[in-house]
Amino acid sequence: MDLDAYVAVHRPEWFRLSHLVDRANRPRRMSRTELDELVELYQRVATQLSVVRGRSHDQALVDDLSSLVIRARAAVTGGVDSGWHVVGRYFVATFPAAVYARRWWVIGTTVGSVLLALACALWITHDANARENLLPPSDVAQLCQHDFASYYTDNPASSFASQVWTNNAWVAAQAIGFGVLLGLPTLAVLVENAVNAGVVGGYMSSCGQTGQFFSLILPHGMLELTVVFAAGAVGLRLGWSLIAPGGRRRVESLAAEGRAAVSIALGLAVALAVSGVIEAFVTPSGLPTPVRIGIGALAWALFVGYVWVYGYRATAAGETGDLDDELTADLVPVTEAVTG
Amino acid sequence: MSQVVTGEAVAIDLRPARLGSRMIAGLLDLVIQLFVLYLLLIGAFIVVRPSDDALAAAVFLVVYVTGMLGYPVACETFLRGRTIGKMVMRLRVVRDDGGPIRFRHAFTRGLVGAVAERPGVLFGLPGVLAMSFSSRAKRLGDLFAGTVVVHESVPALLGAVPTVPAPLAGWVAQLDLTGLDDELTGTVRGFLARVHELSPEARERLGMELADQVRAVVTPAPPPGTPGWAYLSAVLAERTRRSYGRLRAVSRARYGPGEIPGIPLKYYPAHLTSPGPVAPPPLAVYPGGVPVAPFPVVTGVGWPGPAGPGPAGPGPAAGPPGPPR
Repeated sequence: MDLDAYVAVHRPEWFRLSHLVDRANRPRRMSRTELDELVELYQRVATQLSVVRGRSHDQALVDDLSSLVIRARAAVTGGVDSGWHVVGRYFVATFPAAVYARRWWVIGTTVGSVLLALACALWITHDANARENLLPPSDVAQLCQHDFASYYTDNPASSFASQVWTNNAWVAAQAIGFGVLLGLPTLAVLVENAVNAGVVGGYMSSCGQTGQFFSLILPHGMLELTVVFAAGAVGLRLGWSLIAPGGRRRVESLAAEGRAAVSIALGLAVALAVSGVIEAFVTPSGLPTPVRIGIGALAWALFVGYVWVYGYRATAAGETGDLDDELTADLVPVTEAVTG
Repeated sequence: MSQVVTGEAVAIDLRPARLGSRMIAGLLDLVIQLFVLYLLLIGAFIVVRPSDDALAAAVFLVVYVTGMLGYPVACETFLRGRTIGKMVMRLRVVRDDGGPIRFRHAFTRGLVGAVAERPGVLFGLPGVLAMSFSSRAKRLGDLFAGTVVVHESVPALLGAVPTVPAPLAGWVAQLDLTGLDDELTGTVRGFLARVHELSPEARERLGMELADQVRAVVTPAPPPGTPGWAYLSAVLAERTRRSYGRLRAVSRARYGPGEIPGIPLKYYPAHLTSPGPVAPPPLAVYPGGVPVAPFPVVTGVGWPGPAGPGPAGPGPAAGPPGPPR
């Protein structure tokens, strides 16, 4: 077969396909026959590509034809994700399964952070020397008497809730996103977070305000900190996947881990909205402390129970938190097989 | 070039976009993003009128995330893997297998980009380093989303297609091309396509070699004095013309006697579709016989004239079937 002749014969079809692909960006304006033609031409041109690429000396031709086939494939198979069932499924299966699959990382991060915070608190409480050198006494008095409590009431509750929510959600998303840098920035954020909480707690306890501290941290903090630890854990796990990619090919395992990890950020943002509302409306409210802490504990238990129950169920049903198989790459590597 | 096989079992060569074009696309997008940020910020503050620091901070953060994360994610989700910058540079984000990306891919690329690869983090080095060390120029966002950014283009016109020089029009009609296989044709075609890039010596040597190989399998021999380039070009063009006729017959059988619907006639190769003038009778001698670029005939050494064996040519060339009459 003469390649030049083959190209000359089929090039009109390539132009036609290219034209249809351009039109397919607005499928509603295409007629039924045009859509049929698009699908048929796509299949035929894909076959022509496989004929040409085996014989052509002209790499540019193969490249261009490849790119046409890719565009046509996107037009034929691709659609925009839509429908509420995707959202529904995300909260029933994808998100809880993804968190559940990382539960040991989450538990580990939580335990580690709490222990670190506790150590810092004990250090500040018991080491008078450190206590005096870290913060000037006037600042400490300010913190104990005024700042810590007024932080929750300085602004109108609804504004404060929005600020706390958006900020926490972005911090959580960043903690996950920073996982791609080997998780090191995530680790730094987690450590800083724990040290801060511990040091503040230590100062509060050293001036006899331990009860006040916990009554202002626990109502929202149980859920909020759990979610932040979860985000940190997901980021660390993501960083770890660079070091130990696991069973599959590296490209695939990194991508699977990345997509699952990042999608967790959306669910965590919703949970943080709840903790933000509690932080602004319950924490500083006049309700008795046991009630405030009870509300926080309930929210926390609901979140953990939801993730555990739905996550366990979805994981048992094969949900991984990544996209479905047909939406990830259909990869058969041929780079090794075909020397190109 | 990285090759993958798609779900339909077609091998595809993805042409990954490299740092340069992607940076230009990225800068274009950045300008748009800053503009969007500016407008959104003004709009949001006019609509919300935040009366306290907390609300102002919340509005600011929401606007920032919308511009930095929402813009690329929304674009790539709804424009099938493109942002405005990418459209300008004719780039597209596709899955590792060339398939279309979904929201999840776009969100993963976007979040990793907005968090870890923005210029404020380590001077943007992580992304640049990842792209430089990746065989498919993936930034970290691509790596963790399983995507690759490719160039997209319409199939280009072929390079110069071989033609039959006018003086040989009659001669080519007599050619017996059955011995000329695809491999040799491809080699000659490649040679003719890049003949102007070769040094004169290489052109001469390769041209002679190829002409000898072709002469060994194609009869009859060219008229005396035919320049090498004209000989090779004529043989290839005639082979293409004959092959085209056969393939067109197959194509016509599919589409009927007319042309493919929607394809303007200009896309059909005129020199192949037109019946062409009636071929003149074969010439006895190539007119002029003057050596012509790209590689001149070395007259007197036996090629392409019928006078004797080619210079150190392969065996069969030593006994050409003589002049065509």
